[in-house]
Amino acid sequence: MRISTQGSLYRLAKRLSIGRGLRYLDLWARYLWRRGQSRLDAHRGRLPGADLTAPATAIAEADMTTAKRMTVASWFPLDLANSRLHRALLASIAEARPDLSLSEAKLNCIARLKRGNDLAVVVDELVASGETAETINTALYVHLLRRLPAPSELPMIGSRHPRHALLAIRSGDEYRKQGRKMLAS
Amino acid sequence: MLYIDVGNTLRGGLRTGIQRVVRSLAFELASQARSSTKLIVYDPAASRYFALTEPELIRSADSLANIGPESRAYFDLDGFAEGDVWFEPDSTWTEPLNRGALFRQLKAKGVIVVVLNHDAIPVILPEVCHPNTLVSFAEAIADHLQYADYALTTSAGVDRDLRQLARRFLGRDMTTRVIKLGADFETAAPIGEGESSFAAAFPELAGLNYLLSVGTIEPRKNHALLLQAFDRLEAEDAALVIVGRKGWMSEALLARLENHPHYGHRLFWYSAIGDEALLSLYRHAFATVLPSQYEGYGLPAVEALSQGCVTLVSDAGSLPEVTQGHAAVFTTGDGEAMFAILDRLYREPSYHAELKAAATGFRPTGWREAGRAVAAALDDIASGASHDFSAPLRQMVFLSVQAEVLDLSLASVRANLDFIDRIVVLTSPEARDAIAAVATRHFPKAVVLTDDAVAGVDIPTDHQARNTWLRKQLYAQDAVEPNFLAADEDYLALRPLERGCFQQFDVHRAYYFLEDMGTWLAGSPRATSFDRGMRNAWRLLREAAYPARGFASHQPQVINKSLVNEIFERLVVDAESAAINEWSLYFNVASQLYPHHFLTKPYCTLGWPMRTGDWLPEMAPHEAAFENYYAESYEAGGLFAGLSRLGDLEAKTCRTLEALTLARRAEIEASGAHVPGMLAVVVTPETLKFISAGTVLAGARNVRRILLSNGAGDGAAIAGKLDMFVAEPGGAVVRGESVDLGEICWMPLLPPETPGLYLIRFFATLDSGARLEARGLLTVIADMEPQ
Repeated sequence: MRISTQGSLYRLAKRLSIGRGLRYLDLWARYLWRRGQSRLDAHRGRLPGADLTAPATAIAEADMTTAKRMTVASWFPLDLANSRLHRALLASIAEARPDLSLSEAKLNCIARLKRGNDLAVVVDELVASGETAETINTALYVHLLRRLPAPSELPMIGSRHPRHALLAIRSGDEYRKQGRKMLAS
Repeated sequence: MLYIDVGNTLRGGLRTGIQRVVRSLAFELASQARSSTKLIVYDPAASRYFALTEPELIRSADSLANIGPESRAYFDLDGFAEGDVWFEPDSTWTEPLNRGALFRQLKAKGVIVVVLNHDAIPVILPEVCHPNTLVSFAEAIADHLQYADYALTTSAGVDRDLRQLARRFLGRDMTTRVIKLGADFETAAPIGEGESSFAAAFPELAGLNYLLSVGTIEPRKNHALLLQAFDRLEAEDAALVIVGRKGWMSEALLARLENHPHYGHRLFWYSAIGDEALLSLYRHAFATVLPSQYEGYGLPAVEALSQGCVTLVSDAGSLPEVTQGHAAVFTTGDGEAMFAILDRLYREPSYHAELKAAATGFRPTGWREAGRAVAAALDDIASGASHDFSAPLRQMVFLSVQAEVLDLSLASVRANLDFIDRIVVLTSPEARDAIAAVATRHFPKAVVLTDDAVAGVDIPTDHQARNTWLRKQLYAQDAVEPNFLAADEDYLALRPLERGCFQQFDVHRAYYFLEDMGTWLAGSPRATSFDRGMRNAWRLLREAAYPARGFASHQPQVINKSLVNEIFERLVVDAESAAINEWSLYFNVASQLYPHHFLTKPYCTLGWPMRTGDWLPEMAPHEAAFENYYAESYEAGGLFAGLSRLGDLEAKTCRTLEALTLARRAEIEASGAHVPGMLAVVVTPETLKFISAGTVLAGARNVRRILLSNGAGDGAAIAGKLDMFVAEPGGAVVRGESVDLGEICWMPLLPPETPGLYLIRFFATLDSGARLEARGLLTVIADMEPQ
């Protein structure tokens, strides 16, 4: 019943001392192959990207523990907003109630909004990704007002820019009354 | 302190259905334990909660408008303390405060979250619900399923539904307790006992034998079916009284009611009446009928029976359960069956008398009694009294398949843990005889169980899943005592320890080796079963708002039997989902629920890790007492070579700490000229970026981890091959490594033996076809420490 997590580095070190010559040859062969590919790419004008991305900056500036946490979370992101389960339940309801018109795209938008820290940024990203105003605005209604747009609101839902819809919802009485207060002091 | 959120009931101002339950239950709870219970309401205008200064207000105040400033004691959530209980009996899906955010905040403070689930109708039967209810309920029930530590349910049917939802949508179960609701009208008196009083209040019903239907006008209540049956009744004195406010999707039915030829003569709709009037209506009704498509509880049926009223119910949801055989039951939606019973009731007085006798025999629960039962349940949850943390610790429970190693381990237990006088060992059928021989040599009354006997044939093959699943089955066995030391065969005790190291009265010590499982990079670039178990436990715990320390400390740990069974029952539902680190699962949840029964401490194990190069412990073993035994450690070149397996604690500790110091020096701690810094590669679908800071100590023994970070955001999949090369300034390549991108978090760098400035190059070929490259410099300095 033992756990076999250890020893990979040890085995690696052993590998270095056993068959070292062959390994060295292999190393050179791979290196030359990769370098050749790289030169070819450069001739074709496919230079590798070199911009310092936001995650790189964040990692570079973090302490080791934080960097490890960020690294693990980058491959295995946590759903701390509980959006996955919420989406699954909504999807189940949407299947039984097609009259709600809660499409996959709308459900995805709701989940994205729920996960986002800054709704304006998420809305911009959704717009940039080509989502329609109807989809994003419906998702905003569900997320911020916990209701679907009323029939009388549908023309506006389909035409209003989502950033404007976001502003309008947040400045409205209904949002203030039953809006999404996240935390109590 | 018990906090009961009653805001929605006071906000809505209703007194029926869930609101009746909330008002009655909350009043009883607050009255019975006034000093330790607060009835609280969220005030969106103030962004704060306030407590009602008088419990009576929950019964007397119609709405928030009736609660003046003098009756509101505002408080901040900062005031919550570990072990407090948050109880949510209300229909909170329309509450202003987001429940998920609230629960996360409460759980971060160590508050136990308990919800009362009345039903899950919007998910189970969405066809009959208002669209906005569906939308808001979905979010609320998601938060209940994800975050609630315990759920109280109003019937076995609701209990079953809720747990099925958790399994279906979350792959987990819920820890639930079924409670009984009250059915009495404590604050109400009937309008008058005599017929004359009733006739005065309801003159339109004089001389009629009316059927009574109580409930909001909405499709689920199935009023249409009842109306159909009523239309077919031939009895001239038959009438139908519908009590309930106008609900959703009810326009057609209301039009049918109001245009009915008997409307106002033999057909009546009372949209808003008080408790007194309702009580009288029950008492004078010919029969009460609930033809619902589903009921989580069916309070009107229970109320009707409590008043001795003949009662008919559909067999939907919990109605047969809560009426306990005292009502006539017909198949849901079978109008013919319902009509047949009604027709017979009017035609055969003896049949009516028979059902009347059945109703009279019904023994309802009163709200006071219900309140006492719920208070007891909440008190038990808060105190953990039922878990018996103080039962004597004298038993060890092992998983073992290697008799030779178990022999060593038991010898160490015999020598050092003298409070242990009995053991249980779970082993494979093949190893049983050898294990039993060893176990009984050390402990003559040892109990040896086999995998197939406790877990059947459905045992996972994955190492972690197998261990967790086997432990779940093992811990439920009769042979296991209320508190026990759980161990693997290779945990050696190296010095005498007293029981107090694990259990002091009702406090259990839990030993952790990692502050945050979210920093677990895995012991190898290729994740093992153990690594996946750690990761799964971390994900499950953090997403459910529990702490996520690593408790897989590879040393014996004290476990409470009933609590571990409760936690595993909830979070390890089947063999397939068992790939979760069981130690971390238990101790994180248990110490969150019962902080006063757990004391967490850094681990005290040598040999974990076997080598510091395998993974770098963030903390040194504290006051070492155990060893995670590896035979390889005693071989030439091993950390404990030349030392005694069951002794030499001091030498082993010294060697461990020295190795740890060396490893930390290479990667974490600055020493002399060496300034260790971050080595990382960020990969996106379009870019590869190398990050390097500080110096690298020369030599393979100073292995470094290059963090591999997925920069695509939101965990988007990136797969492919990544090659790393370290080359001298002249171009000669001296080191290299190759890994498969996917889910790995790091790759090893074995530093060159010779100090100097090196070029480090990375080439990635992604599955998308993209070829990416990054490069940087490594400053390798001499390692002055002796080998």
